[in-house]
Amino acid sequence: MMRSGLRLVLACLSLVGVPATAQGPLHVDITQGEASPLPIAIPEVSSGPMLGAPNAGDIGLALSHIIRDDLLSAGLYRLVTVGERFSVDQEVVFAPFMRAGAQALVIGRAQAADEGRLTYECLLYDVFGGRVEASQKIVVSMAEWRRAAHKCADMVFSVTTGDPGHFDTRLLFVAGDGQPPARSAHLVAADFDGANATALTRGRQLVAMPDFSPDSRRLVFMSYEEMQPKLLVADTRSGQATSLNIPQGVPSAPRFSPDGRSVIFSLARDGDADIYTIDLASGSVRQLTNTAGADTSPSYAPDGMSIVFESDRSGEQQIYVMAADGSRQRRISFGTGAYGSPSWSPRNDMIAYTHIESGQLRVGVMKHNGSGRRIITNGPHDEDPSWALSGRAIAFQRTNAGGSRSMLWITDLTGKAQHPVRTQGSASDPAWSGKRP
Amino acid sequence: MRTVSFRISANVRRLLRLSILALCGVLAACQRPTQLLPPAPIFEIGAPQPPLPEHVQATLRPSLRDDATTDDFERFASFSRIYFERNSARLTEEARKTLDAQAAWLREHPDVRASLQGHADALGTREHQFALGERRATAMKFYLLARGVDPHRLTVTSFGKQRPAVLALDEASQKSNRRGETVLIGTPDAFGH
Repeated sequence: MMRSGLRLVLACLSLVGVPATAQGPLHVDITQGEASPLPIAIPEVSSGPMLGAPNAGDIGLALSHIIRDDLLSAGLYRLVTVGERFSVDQEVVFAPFMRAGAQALVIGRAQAADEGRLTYECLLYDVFGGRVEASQKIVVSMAEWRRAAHKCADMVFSVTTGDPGHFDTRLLFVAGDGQPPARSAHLVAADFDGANATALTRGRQLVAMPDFSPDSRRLVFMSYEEMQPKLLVADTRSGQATSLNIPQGVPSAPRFSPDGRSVIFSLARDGDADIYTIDLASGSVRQLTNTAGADTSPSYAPDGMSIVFESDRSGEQQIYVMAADGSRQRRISFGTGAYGSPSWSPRNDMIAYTHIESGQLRVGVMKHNGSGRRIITNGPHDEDPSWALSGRAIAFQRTNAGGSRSMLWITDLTGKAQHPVRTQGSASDPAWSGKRP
Repeated sequence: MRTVSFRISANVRRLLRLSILALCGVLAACQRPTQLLPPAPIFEIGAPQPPLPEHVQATLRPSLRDDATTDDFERFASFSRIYFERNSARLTEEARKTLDAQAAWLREHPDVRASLQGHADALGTREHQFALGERRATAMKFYLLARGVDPHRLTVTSFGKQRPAVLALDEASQKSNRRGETVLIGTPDAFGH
């Protein structure tokens, strides 16, 4: 009782006193994507046996581990281990963490709540300042217990970087089964760490290139019917999927506009592909490019005012930027090799792309004016970059050297922190969600 | 030595509790419980489709001639696939010969429609390869049209690099992925058109 009262104070104070900027002492310095990692301690806090918990063992311990995995995957933190395990009602003493050099300390306390719910008290301490930097009481259904850790990690990330965390998010991808030629494919959505994967489509029809709406409630993707690709918009709550009524041709590369009201896509007809938008409410279609060549892979800037896309109008795939109405088209990628699959960062500052040279595909980033290009992956065959909502990480598809299996990977912007996403079977065409509802 | 201590006298506690209530009242969003999510639905997106065109429709129906089968077409045209150069939709000499034979067969079977399907290798972006596949299928369509096949019997589609014939990344394998396939789809109303 006593503690809960005080914790409530902390929770409220932190919301008053800590704006979502990284000006406090626990600031991760990020310059040009290079960060000096913040020493952080995330001790295990046991919750003991919990009524109604899924058979994941000690939920408290599991949640501590998930927070560690989340934060370390960002490449911005260095884990400090003190080797102590706390029980849920144990007091935390700063001294050992201070001695071990931890500047930040994350304590999460899990407790069962009524109606099959789990409460998770997530506290971020400034070890040297000796105070709570931020805190949050997270309530989730027991079935979604892992989200408590992701939300806690999001809070830590947002306080220390000033950017929203990307851990409580979903990844959408195409899962393939079997070997060619009888390969089937279906859409899957999973947590950003690969957990809680759910199939979204079934049947043997081919699906490709999915994208989330900005509010993560709808999807748009290609689906083949009678061997012709269609663009489908599906509502994740109702399960309704509607086919977009677009002009004849072969559509591909659909993406939502930042306001979620329209879908931008490429439509190929008579050997020429151009970029179009369709307003989802009125159904009106507008053609934005009409240059000869394959104009495709459109992606909006976060403000919706500009569009980046790829085109081979110069004879080779390069990246172009235009205004939202199709005017002021200009090339921004120069240099050896071909450039494609551009994707505009949610932070507005960068564009991720696939670079092709000597038959090798790599993922790179550049500023939105085309300067500062750098390749950040070095796999045998890396492509399809998709931004995290933080703008601090990119999901991409990596195919093994033999070409037989593709997986999803996540990288930071330096390319130093990279890890595969655990999926069943092969996975391709990643699309990262925004904030989950 | 700093510790986080939660031990405070009862009076202070009561005062605190009151002020918390006031504070939380002001900050309505102080502790927002997470909304519980319903399980994601599964989208039913139409009946299952034949994933790979060849051999799935060994016999076409209805047909004026009983030899209007995919096997017969392949025998006659020597092959239903043609191959392209890298990142190109130009028809090679060999491809033209195959298409000549296909055109002759299609002229003999005027009730049969064909789906022209362009595929591309793994060495381009996913988006570009869709456009390239369409470009290849379009090249096939214009060639067949010039050889006297009614364009209304031909539909153009692209699978980009989504359906490789061979998965390996070496050049020999990628060569066989740069292809155009002619798939017979029966009479115009076979799929309810």
